[in-house]
Amino acid sequence: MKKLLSTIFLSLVVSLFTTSLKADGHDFTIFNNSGLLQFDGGGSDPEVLSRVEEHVVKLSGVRPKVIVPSMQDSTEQLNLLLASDTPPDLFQANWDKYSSTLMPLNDLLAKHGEGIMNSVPASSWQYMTDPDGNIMGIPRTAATSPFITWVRQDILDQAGLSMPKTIDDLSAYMAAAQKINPDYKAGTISWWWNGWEQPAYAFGAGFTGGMSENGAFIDATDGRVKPFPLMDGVTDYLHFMNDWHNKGYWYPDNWSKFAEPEVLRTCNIAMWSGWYSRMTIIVPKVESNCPGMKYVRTSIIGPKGYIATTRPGGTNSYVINKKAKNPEAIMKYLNWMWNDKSIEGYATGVNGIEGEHWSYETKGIPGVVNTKDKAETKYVGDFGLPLFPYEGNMQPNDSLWAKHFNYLGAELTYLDDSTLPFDLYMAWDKGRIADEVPSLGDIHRMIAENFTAFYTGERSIDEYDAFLSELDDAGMQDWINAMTRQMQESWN
Amino acid sequence: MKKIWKFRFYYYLALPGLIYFFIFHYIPMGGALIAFKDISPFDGLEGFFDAPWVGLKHFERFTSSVYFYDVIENTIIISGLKILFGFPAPIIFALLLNEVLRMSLKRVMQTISYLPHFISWVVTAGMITALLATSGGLITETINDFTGSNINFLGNKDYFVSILVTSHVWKTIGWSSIIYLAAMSSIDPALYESARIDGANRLQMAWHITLPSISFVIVIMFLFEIGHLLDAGFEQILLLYSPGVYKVADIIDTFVYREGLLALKYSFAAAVGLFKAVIAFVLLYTANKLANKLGQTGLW
Repeated sequence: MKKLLSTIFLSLVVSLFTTSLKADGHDFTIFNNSGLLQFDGGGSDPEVLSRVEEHVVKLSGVRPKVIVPSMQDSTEQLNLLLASDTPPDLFQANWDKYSSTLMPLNDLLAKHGEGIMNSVPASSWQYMTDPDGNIMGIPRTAATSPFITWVRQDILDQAGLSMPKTIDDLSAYMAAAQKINPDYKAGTISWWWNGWEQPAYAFGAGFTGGMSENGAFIDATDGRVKPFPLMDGVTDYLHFMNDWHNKGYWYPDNWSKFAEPEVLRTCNIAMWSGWYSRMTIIVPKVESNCPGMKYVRTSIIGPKGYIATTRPGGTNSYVINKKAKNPEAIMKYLNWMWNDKSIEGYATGVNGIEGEHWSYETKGIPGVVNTKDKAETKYVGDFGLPLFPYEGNMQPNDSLWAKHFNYLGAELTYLDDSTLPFDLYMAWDKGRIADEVPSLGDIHRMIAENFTAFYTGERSIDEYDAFLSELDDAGMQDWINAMTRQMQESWN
Repeated sequence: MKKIWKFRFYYYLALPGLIYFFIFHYIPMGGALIAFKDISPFDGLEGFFDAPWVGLKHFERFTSSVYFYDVIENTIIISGLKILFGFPAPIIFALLLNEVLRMSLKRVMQTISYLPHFISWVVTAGMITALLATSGGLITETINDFTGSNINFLGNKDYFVSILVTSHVWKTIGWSSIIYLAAMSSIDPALYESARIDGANRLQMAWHITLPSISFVIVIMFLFEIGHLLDAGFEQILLLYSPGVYKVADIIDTFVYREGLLALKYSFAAAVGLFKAVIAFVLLYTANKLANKLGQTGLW
């Protein structure tokens, strides 16, 4: 009840706030939950922000107003805003989850979105179309390989080893690393998303052949879509994870919460197989603590193929609220932001005023820009909307960020050394699956909890069949039916 | 009516509070109806009225979850332990502070003990994570130096609840002691004087004078705690838990957060909220009755 009352109260507050935004002459509102502002809690200086806004209006021809996420969980804030009387016009979301509140974009894109259409890879649009052919969003990302394993060249050199190519090589690398320094560990993240997917995306495919975005595969024996725990080879994967745990290779905190920057700062992470940006954003900032430390990307093969699974672009997208009063202005703004001929819009949105906050090193696509520290410019990027892989077109002339942008531009979409899932270009309606499987949350919790217990040996892998029976009791067959039905509809 | 007019200025003083409670606590109660409907949060007020009635569907979904008993049990255990250790702690702390004669020292101790109250759970969780990290964590490394064992405290079911309770006591002990200190300040000094003449020592005075004199505050505060028995500390747990400790850490509120709020199932979230409110009311009513029967001052 307390939560309900709080929700209604916050909705009222948010309504009042957004009402005042509408009244002050802006064309539309952006809820910038793109992630760009996630680490800039201090926000922009109001005076600077106001000048950037005027600059944006001058260049784009429209006047957006930005709402910066202020709650720890921007999803919760987005939901509250959408439930208010004056919801944001533009925001980032999985369109399948929010489809009832969104506007199809076909006509708008045809009229004002030529630059966007050219900027976004053709394959990414496949996730954006509903069964009626409506384009429901502008894809935030594309098919990528974000779970690649990284090892350290300095440790390889010290141990006299060549680059690992197989799971066995990787085990030998970890053994050699711990001989050099017993504190060297392997890092991953286990509590993101549903709490079990990230290590499975990083290693599972090597033992099972790979799983889909929903953590599923097609069972060749009956043609049905089934969840990852039912794949052949899953117990081999679990034995591998448990074996590494018993040998002390895994960083123990992988299985609970930890602060990745602080852990990487210790210089003791010899191998990383979690989300890629820890290597491309955090490591450049902390590596001065660790002279000689150099992470390199690997291509590891397991018994059934590359160990990493390609991540589909999915339905994460920039979407327009069906209640938006001025959708044409929104599309004009987005076409300026992600234009195929100039990075002016994106560079302005992210960095501020050209000449004052940033300058061109080289113009064009891609362009190289000289940027200043955000603490100096006092503008944190409120008007910027990152779009992958478009953001790789703006390459900062800054060694701290160069690695990240080079990676975005070239390596993140390199899919030849990861396993492609069967649904790479299929858009799941996850909202519908959740409606059809009321116990889906229970099932995800059961997998997360038990996989962690299997990794750490708290539950014996000999009990795996009992675990599958528990999943059955929790409604796994409903999940199989819902996924199979949706795949058949999609492929028909 | 005449009395109201006579004491009108007192009513004026109470008015803002009454208006606040009416607007923010009574009017929203109408929203509890969505627990019996299937609403889409994006349909606004129209959806509120037009959404179909679904009876007890959302309550059934909650009670039929595999983890229903787990989350209820965890909520009661965590909350119960917080009451067991967290409720007497500020009373004992206030009694000890009351015995400090040097005012400057007393003020310093009070200020230090109040500080954690002003640190948000986000920051506190960051501090706990840093202190308990197996690599570089001050507490973990110290234990490791003495025992040679490197324990992942936050991922271990045996320790997780203790961490929750300890950090809760640390964060609340100072702030919660204020009300007891205030109650102690109203005790007639003549009582202590008489006891001292009769040869009572400090412990005897605390036991026979101080505690009985503040017992009405203790009972009222305890009743409040009972009313919040099903609020086991949502923010604290959400920021610290992970799948490895769900078995002991997943409470009603974290369950609702995952299943209701993030999944946009507001009707489900409202149903669980209503379920909690009804249980809390029954608990509070029973505890109040019990307090009255035992001759203590209750809430009504």
